[in-house]
Amino acid sequence: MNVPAFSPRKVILKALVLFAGMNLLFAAAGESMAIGRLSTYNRLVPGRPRLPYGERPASYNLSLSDLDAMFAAHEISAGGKPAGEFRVAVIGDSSVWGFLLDPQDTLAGQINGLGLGSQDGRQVRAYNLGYPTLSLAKDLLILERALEFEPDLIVWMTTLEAFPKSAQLDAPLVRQNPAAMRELIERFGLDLDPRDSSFASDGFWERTIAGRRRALADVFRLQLYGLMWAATGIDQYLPADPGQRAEDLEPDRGFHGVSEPLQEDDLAFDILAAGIELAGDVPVLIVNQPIFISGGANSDVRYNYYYPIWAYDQYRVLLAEQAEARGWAYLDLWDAVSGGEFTNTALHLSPAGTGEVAALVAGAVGPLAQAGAAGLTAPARIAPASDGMPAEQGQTSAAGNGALPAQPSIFQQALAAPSPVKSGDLDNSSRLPPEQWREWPVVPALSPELVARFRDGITNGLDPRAFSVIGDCQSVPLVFMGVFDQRPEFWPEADYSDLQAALSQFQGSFGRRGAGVANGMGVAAALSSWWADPAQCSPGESPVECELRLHRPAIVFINLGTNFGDVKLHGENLRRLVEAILAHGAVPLLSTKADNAEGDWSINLATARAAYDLDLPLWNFWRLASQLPGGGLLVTGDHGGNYLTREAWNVRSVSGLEVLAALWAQLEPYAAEVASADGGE
Amino acid sequence: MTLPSVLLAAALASLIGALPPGNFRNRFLALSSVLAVYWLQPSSPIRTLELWLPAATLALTAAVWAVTCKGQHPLSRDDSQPDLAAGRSRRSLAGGLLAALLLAGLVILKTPDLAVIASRALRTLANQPAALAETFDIRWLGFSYLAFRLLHILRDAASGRLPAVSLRDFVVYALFPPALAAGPIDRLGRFAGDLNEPHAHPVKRVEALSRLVSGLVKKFVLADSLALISLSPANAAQVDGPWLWLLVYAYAFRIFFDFAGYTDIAIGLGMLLGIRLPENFNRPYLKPNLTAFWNAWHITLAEWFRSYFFNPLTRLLRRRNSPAWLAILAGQVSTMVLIGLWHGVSWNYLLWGAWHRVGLFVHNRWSSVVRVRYDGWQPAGWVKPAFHAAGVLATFHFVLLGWVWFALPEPVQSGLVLGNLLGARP
Repeated sequence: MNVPAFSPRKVILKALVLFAGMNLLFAAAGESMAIGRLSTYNRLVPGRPRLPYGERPASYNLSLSDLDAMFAAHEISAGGKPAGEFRVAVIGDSSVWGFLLDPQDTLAGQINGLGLGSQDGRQVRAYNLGYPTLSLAKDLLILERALEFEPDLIVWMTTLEAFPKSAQLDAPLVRQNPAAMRELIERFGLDLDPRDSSFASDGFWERTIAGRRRALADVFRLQLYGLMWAATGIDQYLPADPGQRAEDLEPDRGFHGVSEPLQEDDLAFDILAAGIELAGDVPVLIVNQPIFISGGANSDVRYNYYYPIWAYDQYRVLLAEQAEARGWAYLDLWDAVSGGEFTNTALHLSPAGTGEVAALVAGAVGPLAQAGAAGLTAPARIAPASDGMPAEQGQTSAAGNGALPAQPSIFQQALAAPSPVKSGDLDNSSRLPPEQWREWPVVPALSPELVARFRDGITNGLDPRAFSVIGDCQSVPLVFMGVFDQRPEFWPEADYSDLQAALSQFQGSFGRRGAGVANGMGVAAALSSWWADPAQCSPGESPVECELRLHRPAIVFINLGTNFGDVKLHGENLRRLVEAILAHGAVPLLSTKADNAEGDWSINLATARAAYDLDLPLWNFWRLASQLPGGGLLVTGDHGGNYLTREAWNVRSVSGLEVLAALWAQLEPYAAEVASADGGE
Repeated sequence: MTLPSVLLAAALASLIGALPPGNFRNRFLALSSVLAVYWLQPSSPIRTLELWLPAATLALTAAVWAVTCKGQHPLSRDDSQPDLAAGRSRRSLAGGLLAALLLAGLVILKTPDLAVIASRALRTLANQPAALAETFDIRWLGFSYLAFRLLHILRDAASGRLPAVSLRDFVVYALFPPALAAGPIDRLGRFAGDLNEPHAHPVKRVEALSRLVSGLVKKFVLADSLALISLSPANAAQVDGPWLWLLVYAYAFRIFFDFAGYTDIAIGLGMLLGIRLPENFNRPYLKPNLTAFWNAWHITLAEWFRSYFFNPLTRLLRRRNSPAWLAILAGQVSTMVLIGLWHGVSWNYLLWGAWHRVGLFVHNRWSSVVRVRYDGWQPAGWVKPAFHAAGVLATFHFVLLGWVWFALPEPVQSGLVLGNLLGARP
């Protein structure tokens, strides 16, 4: 049989023509090809809890620039949005993405762990859309995509390093998505050059199969890595020694070539504004994320590796002013986390540190979720924020955008309530038995013995202008009285006329985060050297000893009880704690808590017993909080209602100030007496 | 081997292949082979080793030629001429020394501890810190294959089976660039025939390009993709259950596509040069038994061991009146162990070789039983294909599980993985 001859030249020519044709078709189809949307994730393998990012094969992850593929691989793309879900999109940088963190320990993961719920019964579900690299332009790209997934709220975590205009196009994700970025630049009139040479070329050749071969190969590899992700649950390579954030710093005042002082035009506020405008009806909470504040060399010049002090302080002022002027919801957490919780950079947090941030962000997210985006006909934005203390929900913003009409807030109602909620007898001699602690007054009085102890204390060197707090994460300055070291316009609305003396006397203590406050602190922990901050405490010192040594307070708030081990031991350890403070010469101020984590209110009873037996003042905060909706507690699941609402935080801060003022009113004459005996110092 | 280097090699091969066959082309090929040895030599942390290793390759090649192929009848058995006899004796001694040198080189490079010692010595000579010596410092391009080619020549020369070949042609054979790094292991006689009677014509060029493209797809698309999900020491500890099976399957196909891809590329490049290199793979995973598998996997290596180790050993043992079964058993055991150790002198490769030895033995016994019991049996139409399919599945999975020893350097980990695969989880 004769085999027909064939011409190799024709074969090769046909192959070339076919190849060229396919490339032309591919290029012509352009964005509509959307190869990246073809994904095995959420179909054959589970979606990833964070956007794909990785530089090592051992992470079973890779960095790619195809936003379609990135989002298709994310769990947010798993089908439509469930009806019972209040969807929160969390965007930001590598600290949000979760460098060195497992998925459940990231900010979104820990917010989900709090089990928040909205008033309309939906479950709050946060999605981690953070992506490494610091750039608001990068965030804007991601935010735009995130809106396709119908978020009910956007939490935009940011920091100064993301703001410099000169660095916006440095992010590879921005450079590799020139079309999308140019469209945003044009749409919002952003102060960025759409013809900047750093943008990847997107000419005809780059749109062909050959031109996009690397991108297509990356999409394919991402699918293969999906199998390893599904098999191992690993999506990040965790080095054995990731290194530690720099403690000692260079004496460098420079910041991205910007001259002092920092101007609004130096920072990309227009991109931030564009993001909020893009979000439309979806509320956006801007959060200035925590930074590491160094105590090492040149810490008088720089806060950390990233920020000279002058630039960062001015940035905070500018951001707060922008938020106020434009009506943004804004939460400043810059110093909310202690230095020990930062890992390999001045922005990356440990799981515990991230948990603290999650609790604080949840405090802002929770009320918004409770208000419920559904059913609102107007943007449910938190009113212009203070420096760390957002004002009450319901207040209109100057920028206004159909905001809800102002109504007396729950906080204001609570404070306006007549006594005995707000104040009580200033005399402990008629104190009811501990079992009736619920009826004890909110504001206590001091026994003559304690007054004498106070006088002896300041005679022996205690600082009558200092008070300390021994407490857990709900006693950090951000949420407990810290606002009183800020400008008055940021204070919660209340009558401060009778509180001025205390405000002046204790200025500097309100905003100070002492060594006695830590996330998860309990009575036993306060007495244990394991819990002391090694950055400021001596070896073997417990947190309370350390705080007493460092600050020499005359009054010590003891805000403990939410975290406890054994109730009986709690009572015993509480007495030991009190004795330690008394031995120091200071006045211990016990307090009741709003939550009932133990189930039978036995912690508050134990506290009342200690106060009764030792004749100590007891600030009955529970009695005030019980007047608030839900007892002042978040509607939570996993945490059983242990977290205070934002209203309750404000009530507690003002009440704490009232207690302080009441005590100071008793002590001031003795302080003056000691001062005059010392020559008027 | 990278994609650009393959494409460049293909372009060069096409150009050389287009030259009219004859002395000029063969000289050009020889020169290209010498240059390729230097060009393809990987970098080394030991100073100047990138220069000395290719030089050593050339020196060994030239030395083996001088001992074996120089002259018209290099190993004439005519002892009536004392000079020829004396020369044969000297060349025999030299050949033995060269063989020992090649074997020593193999052992040193394949044994981690010895490789480190050698690295230390070389570092000392180069005035570099010996303490930094590591196993893979001495990256001698294609030494394993070169050594086997030269050993086969020394052996054939000693047996008087070697054709007379010029140094030029010998260099092309020993250092043939497409096969230098990863085989196949060709025979001098066959190769020299192709070299001097090239078969290149347009039809073969198309076939060559097809093999090349096939090799590129197997290596750079399939193998490199499967590498992402293949069994490795790292992921073996991270996965269990059904996912572990996926990793093992991926490894089995990855190693096949990787090796077969290299072979296709080598054969394709060879065809462009007018040389038809021997096949190294013949659908090994579709063979119904282990013996057939070893006749279809790395064919040239298996044939080499069969020709230059197994057959001589069994003949030797038979001459010493060993029972036939013992001679064959000893031959098979040692052959499979050596094949394992050829990949690396370590316990995991030894165990891999032993695994296959056991499998071959079982197959051998099974075949004997079946042959006797079912002699003359004429089964129904579907039975034979069913048996064949069952055989293919069983063989494939036996080989698949054997790859666990090959992939994981620690035998303990391999044992755990095998246990995990078979349901015994810790």
